[in-house]
Amino acid sequence: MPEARLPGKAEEEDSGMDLELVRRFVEEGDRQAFEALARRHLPSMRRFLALSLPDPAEAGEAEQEVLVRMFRSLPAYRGESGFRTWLFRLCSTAAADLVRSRARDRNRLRRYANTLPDLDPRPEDEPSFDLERRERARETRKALESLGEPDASLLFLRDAEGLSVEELSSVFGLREGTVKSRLSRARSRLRGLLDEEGVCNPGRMPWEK
Amino acid sequence: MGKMKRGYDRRDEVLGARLRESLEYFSKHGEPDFASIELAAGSLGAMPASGRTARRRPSRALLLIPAAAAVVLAVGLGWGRLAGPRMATKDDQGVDGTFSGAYLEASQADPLGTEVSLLARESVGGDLSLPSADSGASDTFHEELAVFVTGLWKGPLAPASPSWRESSEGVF
Repeated sequence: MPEARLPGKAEEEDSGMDLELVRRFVEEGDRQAFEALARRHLPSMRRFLALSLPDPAEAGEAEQEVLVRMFRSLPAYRGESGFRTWLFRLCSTAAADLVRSRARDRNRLRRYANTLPDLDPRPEDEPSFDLERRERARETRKALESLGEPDASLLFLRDAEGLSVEELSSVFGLREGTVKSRLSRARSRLRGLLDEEGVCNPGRMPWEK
Repeated sequence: MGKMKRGYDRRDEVLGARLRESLEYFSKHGEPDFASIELAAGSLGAMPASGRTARRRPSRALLLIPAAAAVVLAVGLGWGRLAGPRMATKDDQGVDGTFSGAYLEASQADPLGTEVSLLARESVGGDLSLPSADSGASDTFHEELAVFVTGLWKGPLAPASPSWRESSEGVF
């Protein structure tokens, strides 16, 4: 299956720029380079952490932890895997550590999802999400989380963030064949769930209404 | 086939856009606190001037090894000097086998040192008496062991032959 070109993917996957920023930070101690690197990948990182940690406070805590680990670990980054792959691995580990440290399992996240309609982490931005989009966002997330892990993360990172099967294999330590079969099954299930909810018409893009 | 593939990719793209939009809504916004991140990472200690410098920096554990060896050596030498004068002489043991005089004082001041000396002597003859000169070759090992232990206790500055061994011709 060819790579889907997603909005912003070309910019985010500019590995040459990533490597240059890493080099400036590690070899020259350039703090600005570290901040630029973090800002480049912050939106992707935050979306992924929001999936793994529904509690906004926990997601914020995990974000801080990821950036601290990134600061410490960059000198050891050799560029053998793409920077995004490396970063998502950090995110995945940090989120798992946070959940484990609070003695909660993935079922807790699913239970927590039922309370999501009452949460609004960004009330200041409400005008940018009208009522219909907010409701669709909640239902979509609820359906995605019902897939369980690692299927939800695999599907999100593949279809929303544009990671390749090979990169997913590296992030989650799964064989590529396993990743493909899980992705196929997860897509099919998610489409079914969203169709049942009536919140997704897979034939149309949101801006094509 | 080509059309089906394009249609399939398009469906993936729509699904991906929906997922992205959903998580975008729930994700945190705002600027990270880089100052606290740097502080938490222990930037002054952890941030290398260069990757090569970081790789050359020895670990703290490696630095502790010579320091610990120096402390052990200093303590050993100092203890050996203190223990030397406390070694028993033939005047310390009376005819009834009890200790008196300087040896008794030493044993009260340093019970552990006294115990080591006694153990060394016991290893020679099985009691507090010294081996006789005609004890034969079988005692050679015990004598050497006693010399070794006593020398170890007294430290490198001790004479090669302890005073009690020099008078081992007779029983005292």
